Amino acid sequence: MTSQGSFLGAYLVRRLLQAVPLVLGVLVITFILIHLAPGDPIYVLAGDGGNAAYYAEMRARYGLDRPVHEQLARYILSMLRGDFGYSFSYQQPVYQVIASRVPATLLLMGTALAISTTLGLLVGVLTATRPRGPISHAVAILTLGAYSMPVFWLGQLLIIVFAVRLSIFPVQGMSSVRNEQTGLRHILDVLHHLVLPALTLGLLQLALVTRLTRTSLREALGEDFVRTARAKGLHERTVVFRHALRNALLPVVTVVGGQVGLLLTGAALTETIFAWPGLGRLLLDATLSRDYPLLMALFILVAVAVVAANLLTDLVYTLLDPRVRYG
Amino acid sequence: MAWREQSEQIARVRSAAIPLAPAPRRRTGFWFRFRAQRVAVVGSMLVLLLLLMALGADVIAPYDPFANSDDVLSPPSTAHPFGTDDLGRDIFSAVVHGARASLLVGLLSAFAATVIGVVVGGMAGYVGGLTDDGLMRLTELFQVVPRFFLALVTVALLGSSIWLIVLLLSLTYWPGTARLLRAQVLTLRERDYVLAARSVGARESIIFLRHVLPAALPPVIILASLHVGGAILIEAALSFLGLGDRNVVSWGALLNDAQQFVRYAWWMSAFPGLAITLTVLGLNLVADGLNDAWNPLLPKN
Repeated sequence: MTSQGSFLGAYLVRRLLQAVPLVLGVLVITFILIHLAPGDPIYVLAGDGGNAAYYAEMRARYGLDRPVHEQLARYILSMLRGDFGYSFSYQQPVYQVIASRVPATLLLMGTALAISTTLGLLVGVLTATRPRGPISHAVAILTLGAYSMPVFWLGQLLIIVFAVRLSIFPVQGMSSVRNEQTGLRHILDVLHHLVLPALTLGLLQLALVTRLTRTSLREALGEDFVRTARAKGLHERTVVFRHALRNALLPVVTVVGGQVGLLLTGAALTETIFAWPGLGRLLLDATLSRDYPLLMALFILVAVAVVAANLLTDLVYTLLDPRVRYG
Repeated sequence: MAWREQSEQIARVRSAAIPLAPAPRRRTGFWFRFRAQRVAVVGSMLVLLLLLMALGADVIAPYDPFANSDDVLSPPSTAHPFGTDDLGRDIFSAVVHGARASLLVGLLSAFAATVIGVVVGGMAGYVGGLTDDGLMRLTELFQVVPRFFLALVTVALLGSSIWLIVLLLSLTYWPGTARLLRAQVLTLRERDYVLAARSVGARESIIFLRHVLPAALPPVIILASLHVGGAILIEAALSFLGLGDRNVVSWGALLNDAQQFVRYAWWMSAFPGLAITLTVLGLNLVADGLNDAWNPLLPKN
């Protein structure tokens, strides 16, 4: 057990080290973009609401009179320190603006992910075990349809049907502005506002998990160890859930973990349609108000989140599959 | 000298007898299997419809998509089958013209990404060694950069144009192709028929282009058809946020216009969105069909 643990430790360290050049590469890409932008790069680096003294100070900090490689080094160092600068449109340091928006995004993404993964696994198992039934065919068509649908259009359709026509759910926002609630009533109010955006974001993920589970479980059910389990006289439910599904989960984990970029894209678009006060909405606002320090910080954050998610996926994979030798 | 002629002849016959990638007999089999799937045929028809719309937009569209009229926010009618928007523009004409932007972005970026991916993946897989390591590190870097956000930030900084969007999508879609082709090439280059070609003295570049690449391409083409759909969705998303090219009609931009009228004019949202969905669905179905036709051994759905 201890040797297993130290193997895992060494593997973790190595994977972390492999992530370092990726993060640096992302920073180099943003640095190049800042310098490709028309106009003085100082406005992209420091925002465009400051006075002359502020710009002189920022020019010195980023070393804009120095050679390019030194500018790059200073830029990377300040980004790595989390020093993203000042947002003039919010009159706050960038990290404060971002931190205030994280909970809303996590609530939306967490809800969507939890529901879609649970439901996707269930439907996937159901259709994999009865591959020729009418439900399977309907699910196959529906998932492909959901997969082809732009998330922002789905959001609009849900608003038109459930908020405008049927008036069951609110059109936009995270809580009722007119009569502010407290305590349990506030929580229920937020949940009421959460239903449509979570559904919008969750549907694509649901389609993905369902299709993957179905394909991968069907393959697993055809393998020898499943025949062995059945031959032992095990209950079919045990065979499917204990033996086949456990193996079928591996590709599902890999693909879902590898699609975090897609999930974040979906979240950003969903937040925009429903005016959900999270990071995605903030990203669009930063773009429209040309709040460049905020915009660059959000982009870097998303890219680092994708690198971290890939790392986490690999770890979960090695923990789920004892055959993987941390190689 | 007779023995030498004889051995050359044997070599020639041998290399001819070795099944080189797609033999003619297999090609008819491919079409047979592709047509056998109804969904693939439906998908091809959807894609064909899109092509027709894009090419014949000027003839099909009854109105100029930019022309305003007094007939504002009118629901679908015989005069305006998809209704009109807040400036009285005909939505049906806009949807027909919008096919051009979507198709241009989708096809061009998927094509460019495939070319880059094939060059990088082919070199990495066939040459191997340090070339492989270096190229794969580069591929990983481009793969982690989230493409929608990169496109958004770049367009915000540099200003939007349809060509910039195509460039950005090409730059972020090639890593998938490169990795797939590399994996294919790695297994194919060890095959006996490659060894046979080498043993008769074929040049490495010829072996790669004639014998390895064609056999490695089918999954790459499937991926490319998925990329067309993906690129169309991202262009639509950028235009939906108001960050697309303002000089062309785009389905995403139509949905952006629709957002502030969701309470009053469902048709402004319904039809452009349906156009995107059916297009992407068609491409996904074609990819599914190609996949099943090229992998007859996989279990049927």
